[in-house]
Amino acid sequence: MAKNVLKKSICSLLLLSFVSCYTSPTYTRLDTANVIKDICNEEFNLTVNAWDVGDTLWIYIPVDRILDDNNQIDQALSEDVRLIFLSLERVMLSLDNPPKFYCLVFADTKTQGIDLYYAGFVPDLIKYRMGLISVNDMQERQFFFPIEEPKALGDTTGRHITKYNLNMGEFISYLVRQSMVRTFAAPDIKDKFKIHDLQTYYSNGKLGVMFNIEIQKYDDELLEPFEEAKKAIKKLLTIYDEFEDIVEIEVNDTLNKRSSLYTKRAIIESD
Amino acid sequence: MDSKRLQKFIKFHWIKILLFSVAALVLIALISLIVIGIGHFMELESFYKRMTLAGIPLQIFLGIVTAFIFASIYMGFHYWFMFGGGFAKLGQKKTKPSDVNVKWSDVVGMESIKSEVSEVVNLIKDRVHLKRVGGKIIKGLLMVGPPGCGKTYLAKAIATETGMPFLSAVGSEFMGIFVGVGSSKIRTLFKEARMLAEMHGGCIVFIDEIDTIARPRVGVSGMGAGMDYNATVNQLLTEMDGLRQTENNVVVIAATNVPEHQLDEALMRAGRFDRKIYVSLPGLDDRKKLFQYYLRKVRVDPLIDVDVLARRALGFSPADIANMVREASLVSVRNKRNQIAYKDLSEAYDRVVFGLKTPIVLSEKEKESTAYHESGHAIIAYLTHPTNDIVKATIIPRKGTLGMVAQRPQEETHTKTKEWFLANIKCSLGGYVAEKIRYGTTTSGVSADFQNALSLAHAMVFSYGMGESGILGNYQALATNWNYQLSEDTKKKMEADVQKILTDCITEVENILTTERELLDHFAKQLIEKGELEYDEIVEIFKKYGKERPQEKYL
Repeated sequence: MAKNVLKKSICSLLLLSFVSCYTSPTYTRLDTANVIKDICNEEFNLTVNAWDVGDTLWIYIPVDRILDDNNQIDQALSEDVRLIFLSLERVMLSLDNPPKFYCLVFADTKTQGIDLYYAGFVPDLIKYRMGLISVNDMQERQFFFPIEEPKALGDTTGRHITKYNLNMGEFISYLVRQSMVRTFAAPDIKDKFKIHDLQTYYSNGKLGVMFNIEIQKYDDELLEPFEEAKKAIKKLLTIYDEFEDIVEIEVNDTLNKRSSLYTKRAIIESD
Repeated sequence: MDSKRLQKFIKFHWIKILLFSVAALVLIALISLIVIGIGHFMELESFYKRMTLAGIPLQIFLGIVTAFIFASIYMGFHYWFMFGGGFAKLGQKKTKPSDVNVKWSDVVGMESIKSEVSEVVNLIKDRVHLKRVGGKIIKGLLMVGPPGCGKTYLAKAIATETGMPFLSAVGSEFMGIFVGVGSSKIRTLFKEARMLAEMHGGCIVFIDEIDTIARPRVGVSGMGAGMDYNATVNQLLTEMDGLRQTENNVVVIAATNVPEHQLDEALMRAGRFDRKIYVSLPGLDDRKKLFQYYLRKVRVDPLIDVDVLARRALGFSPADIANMVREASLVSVRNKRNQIAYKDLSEAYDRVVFGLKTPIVLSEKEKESTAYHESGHAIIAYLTHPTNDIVKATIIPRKGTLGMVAQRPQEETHTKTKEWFLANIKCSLGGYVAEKIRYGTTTSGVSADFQNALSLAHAMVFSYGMGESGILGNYQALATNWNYQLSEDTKKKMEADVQKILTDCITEVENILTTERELLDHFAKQLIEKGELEYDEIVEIFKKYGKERPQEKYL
C-alpha cells in the first residue's frame, strides 16, 4: 500500500513539474499595445492609446485635468495612474519578450494643456512587483516630469507626442537630472541654492551634466553641486552597470567654470 | 422492488443511506470545487499561473513537514495513550520486581497464610508444568482481612518472589468524575499488563481496596446514576475472564477489608478470583515473630521478653506492632536512652491502644466522679470477669473519654460464653452503680456504658438464644429481610428478657459494690491521687483487700 502511495505521489509531482514547464506566456510582444488598450478599456474603463516603438512601449492617456485648483496632482489622476501601472505590470509580467522601457504620458486635454511623463525600465518594474526593490528605489529608477504643452488640449489620440525608441544612456541622463533636482530642491535646503540651469544629455556614448547652481546661503555642511552630480551619476551607473551604452561622462559647472571628463569606471570607482 | 420492500430496506439501512448520501454530496462538492478551481486557474495570466505552480512544490514540502510534525505529535500522544497509559495511567504505578524488594523472608507473622500463598506463587511461576498436566492458570487472588494485616506487603513479596512486573493501583483510582473513565482506566491497566506479560512471561496486577470497584452492581436510575460504576465492574469482569484469543499470564491480586459476601458474585467466582486468602490478625506465635522481626531492626534492651510483649499486644495487627516499636524508639530518644527499654515499649503501647493524653482539665468534683465511675468498672471486672484482666485504670482523658479501664483477655478465645456476656454487661454497668452508690445520682457519662450493655444483652436474646423465656433463634439475621415481621408477643417477651438480664446484672453489681464499698472508696482515692493505675498497682490494691485472682504476668 505504501508503495502505491509513493508511486502516485512521484507521478503527481512529475506531472506537476511538466505542466509548470509548459506554461506559455499569455501575451506576445506583437499584441502588447492592443492588450494594454483592451485591459485598460475593458477592466478599468480607461481609454488609452499605446505604441510599441523599438524597445519602448508608449502609452498615451488623455485625462480631463492633471492639476487641481491648488496646483496639486488631481486625486482622480492618482487613481488612473495606479490602474494604468497595474495593467502595465500585468502585461509585462506575462509577456514573452517584454520591451526595455515604458513611457506613460498623461495629457491634460481639456483644462490646461499639460503632459505628464512617467518613464522607467521594465525589469525594474518587474523587480518592484516581485518585491525585490523598495518603493524608494523604484522612485529613483523611474523619472517623472510634467511639461506644459498647449498642443495637448483636445488631443485624445496622442498625435502631439513624439514616440521614439528610448535608450539606456538617455534614460540614465533623465534620472541624473531628476536626482539633482530632488537633491537641490529638497524642502530643507532649497533656500540655500538657486538652480539657474540644469541640463543632462546623452550622445554617442557620452553622458553629460551641465549645471549652474548658485549657493545662496553658506554653512559648514553645505552640499557641493559638482560632487553631488558625480554622486548621482555614480549611483545610477552602478545600478545599470551591465549596460555598455555610456563610455564617458562630462560634468560641467558653468557657474564656476569647472569641467571634467571621466570614464565610466573612474566614476564608479571614485570615493 | 415493491414499496414495502423498499420501506423495509430504508428502515434497516437508513444510516448507510444517509452516510452514503452525505459522502456523495461531499464528493460532488469537492469535484465541483476542483473543476471550478482548475477553470479559474486556466484563466490566469501566465505570470500568476507560474507563481501558483511555483508555489506548489513549496506547499507540498511544507505540507510534508507539517504532516510529519503532526504525525510525530499524534504518534507520541498515541504511544502515551496506548503504552504509557495516557490520562488513565495517572496514578498507576508500574514497578519492577527489583524495585519492590520485599523478600519472602521479610514476610513474618503469617506463617499459615505464607504457605498458602507460596503455593499460588509456585503456580504462577511454574506455568509450563501446570499446562502440561492440563491445569488452568490462576487469574486472581483475593486477600481479605482487617486493615494493617500485611495484605499489600504480601502482594509485594509475591511480586519479588515471582520476578514478574508489578502494576499497582488503588480501587478508588478507577472512579472518576467522567462517565467511562473507570472502565477506560481498567482497560488501560490490563492492556499494559498483557503487554508486560508478553515481554516478561507474566505480570502481577495489584489492586488495593478493590471493594471500591467490586461491590455488587447497582440498579441504574433514570438519570443514569450507577451506569458508570456498573461499566467499571463489568470491564473488570471482562478483563479477568472474558473472550480473548490468547490467555496471558496476568495475575490479579486484590486486597480488601470488606467481607467477601459483600462483593460482586460474578467477580468472586472461580475463573476470576480463584483463590481467596483470609489474612487475619496474627496469633500469639505470629505476634512473637513480628516483635522479633521489628525489634531486630532497632537497638533494644536484650532483657526484653518478646513473649510478654506478644501476649500484651493481643488484637494487634502487624502494622500496630510495627507502629508500637516505632513509637517506642521515638519515646526512647525523647527519654535520652541509647536503646529501647521496657518502659518505652509500655508507653508506646499506651499511645497505640489508648491514644495520646488529651489536655482537658477536670474540676475536682468531675475528677472524683470519674474516679468512682472507673473504679466501679475496675472492681466489677476484677471480681467477676471470667477471662479478662485489668491492665490499666485511668482518669486522664484520652481519645475523647474522661477515663477508662483497659482489660485484656488472659488467652485468645474465639467463642464467647453466656458468662462472658454477663460479665461484660456487669462491667459496663459498674460505673453507673458506683456513681449511684457514691452520690445517689448518676451522670451522662454512663451513655456509652449503657449502649454497650444493651447491645450485649440484646445480642444474647435476639441472636444467641440466651434469654430467660427460652426463645431460640437468630432474629438479628432476619432483620435485613423486609418481609419478616416479629410478632408483638415474641417481641415483648424478648424485650422483657433483655431488661431481665440488665436488671439482674445491675442488682448483682449493686450487691458487690455495696459490699466492697471500702474497696471502691480506696480505689477511687488512689485514682484521684495518681491519675493512672498500672497493672501492678491495681493488683496491689486488690491484694490489700484480700481479693486475689490468678493473672498472667504482665509488663
